[in-house]
Amino acid sequence: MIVSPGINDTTVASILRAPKHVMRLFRIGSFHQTRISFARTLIRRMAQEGWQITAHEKRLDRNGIGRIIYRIDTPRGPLTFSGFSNPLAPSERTDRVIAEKWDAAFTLSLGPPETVEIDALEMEVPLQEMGRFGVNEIVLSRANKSVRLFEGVINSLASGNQPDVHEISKVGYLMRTTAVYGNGKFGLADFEKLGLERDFTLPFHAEMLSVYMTRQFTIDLIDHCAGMRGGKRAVTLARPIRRMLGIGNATGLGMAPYLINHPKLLNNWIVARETALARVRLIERPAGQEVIKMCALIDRCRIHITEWPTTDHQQNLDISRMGEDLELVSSLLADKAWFNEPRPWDRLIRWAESNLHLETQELLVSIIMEPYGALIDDLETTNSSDEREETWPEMLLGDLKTLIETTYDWALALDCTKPHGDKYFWYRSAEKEEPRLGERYVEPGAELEMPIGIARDVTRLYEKLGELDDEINTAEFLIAWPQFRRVVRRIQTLSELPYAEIRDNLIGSGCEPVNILRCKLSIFGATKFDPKSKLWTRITLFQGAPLPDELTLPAADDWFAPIFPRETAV
Amino acid sequence: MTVTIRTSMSELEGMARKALEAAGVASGLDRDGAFAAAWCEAHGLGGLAILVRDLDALSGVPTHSEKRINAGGLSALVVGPLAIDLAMVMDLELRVENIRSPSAALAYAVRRARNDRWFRLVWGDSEALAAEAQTMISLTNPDVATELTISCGKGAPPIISDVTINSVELERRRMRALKEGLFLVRETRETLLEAAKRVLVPASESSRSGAGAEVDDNE
Repeated sequence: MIVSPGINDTTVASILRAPKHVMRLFRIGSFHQTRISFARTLIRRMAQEGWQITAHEKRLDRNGIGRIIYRIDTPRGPLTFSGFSNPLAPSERTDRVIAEKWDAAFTLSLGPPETVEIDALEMEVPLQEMGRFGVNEIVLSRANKSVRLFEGVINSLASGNQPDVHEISKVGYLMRTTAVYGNGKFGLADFEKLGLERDFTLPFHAEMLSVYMTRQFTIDLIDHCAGMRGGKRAVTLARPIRRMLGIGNATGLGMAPYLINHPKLLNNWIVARETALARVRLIERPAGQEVIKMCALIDRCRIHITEWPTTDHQQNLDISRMGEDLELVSSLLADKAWFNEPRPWDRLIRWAESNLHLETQELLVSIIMEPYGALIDDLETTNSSDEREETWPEMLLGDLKTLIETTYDWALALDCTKPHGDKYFWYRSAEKEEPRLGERYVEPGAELEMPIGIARDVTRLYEKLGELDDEINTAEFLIAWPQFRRVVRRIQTLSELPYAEIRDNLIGSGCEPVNILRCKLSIFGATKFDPKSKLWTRITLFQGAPLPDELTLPAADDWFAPIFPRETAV
Repeated sequence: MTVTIRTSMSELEGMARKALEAAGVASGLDRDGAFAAAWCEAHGLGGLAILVRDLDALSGVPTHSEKRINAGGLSALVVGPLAIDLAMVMDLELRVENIRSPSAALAYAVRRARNDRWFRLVWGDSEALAAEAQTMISLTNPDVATELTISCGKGAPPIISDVTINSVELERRRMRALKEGLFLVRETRETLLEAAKRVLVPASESSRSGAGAEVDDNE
């Protein structure tokens, strides 16, 4: 890699994609996993630090009901992952947060299994939100079987055959989680404690570890069930298939308010992503091996997207367009003349913006980062943030108005008026406090609205400021009009964080929350988005990730856009 | 026998935020009040008790003239942040009259004591200093006073006498809360939970229909 000697932060800043370009719902709703997504950074950390995962106890009956306990050794001390498998009637199986029973429930604990009260957890963990958890429990989750696939795989293995890879590729996982809780919920340990005791200082790494371990649990469970059913005829799942089994997840609206309520984190996540992209775009002349790898990745992506199962019409169209677009990109890069000029990756991104479908543009962003770990992997450490927002009490209202005009001009330009501009309201349902979206002029509850309508609130503040003397300071203003405190503080805190806001009307008739979900899920490392409506989506995590005993293999980090093994390779 | 339930700091802050929101506290001030309640509880200063006791004194708008704020009987959980902000832009003492639970203002003062800025709070015969990495309290009976005096400055902080809780002790309490959790009296916690539930919208068939996956999920 030949990096321009002129690269420095100023140069990077000059090539960053503009917030007004990036932070639109339709674009963040087209993001894909990158190598600095949390699932990827967790796996690299586990590999670099030599984490060891061993099954400590397996106590399952013939039907796979029981528990598997794992010990995870890290440099900062051991962890315990406990998985409990329970009987579940078909009528009780739902992906919704409001469910009350699940096929399996999990917890991740600080300390070795010997110090964890596993018998007590076996009673409490299946209760999920209705349970109370100890200060050493750090993550709580549950999952349901993908029933048809689960049974089919058991039957194949029990009869001595590997399952049909094509059938597996239609789903991609044996279980899907419906909620993964951390950060102090239901008595779990606070996030800060994780940083103190196990170096979990990056957001969602503990949750991602729990999901990764859930994947291992499903693999061990299926081998057990097949063995019980088939006896001596049974075989275990072939390694290439194991590796391609991910964990599914059904994500609803609950995830969306998080991004609005943690704008500093969102900013840092997007800055890391955009900085990574900018660094790669600044490469003057990539080495031959890098070009070869890039072309191979594009070819792999072309196969990967053909294995992307979805019943959503628009997503299928998008996949089809991505296939056509990637073929164009392949042709472009096959012409050596493309590399005669400097900064070929920058030119590729610019060309894509004019010529390719939005989903392909963002897929290319992920692809071109992939060969450049040495250049960008340090950015994963910038993914955390303190989350305090503070007022600037001395700021005069005249200056606050100017600040709004310069940093929230996008908000002032949006129509947030009735009936279309404020069609929706976000609220917490009495059912498990599940966040939901209601129609303001149709459904009851708008008086309990969650403060998600940032553009509307900014506009209201701006209108109020227009009525007042510019020389009043913020502190005096907020004593008289405390109802503006949240939005004033938000504007003042975020004034220098350009990627902190989604620049669309989140309560307007055009808002499709699934875009917010996809943004956050892609940052987690999700793949194969399968939208089920504009309100929720299914996804896959850790598909293609190295298995616990493969973490230190040379190619362990090369699992972007994985593809299923051909039948002959199994 | 008093029954306690262990709770995490973030869980308490979340419950408190909802209770404040349900009580009609302005958006943004609810977060500050919840932060203050959790901070006081984590530092052994009875944050949850203050919040539950003051549930009827959270909603309203104080009045302000010159160097005085009339809190109108509101709790320091919600008036404290407004007053501390105002103290930051004044160069004289700020008097807050008719305030409930003035000790709760300390939490927000500690949060804003950055970049060489300090706050001195006086209420009744109690006193506290919030400075960067240096918070100390001389505290006798924090619940009785209804007047709070706040002064703010930059540079070397003033000295307070008869310190009963110093910064080392405060940090020890916080770390203990972090490592072991907070042990809340069950009845008090339940009162808070009941208050917090008022932010929830009753479920209906229409609200369920668009919120997530289909009910039957056996594919």
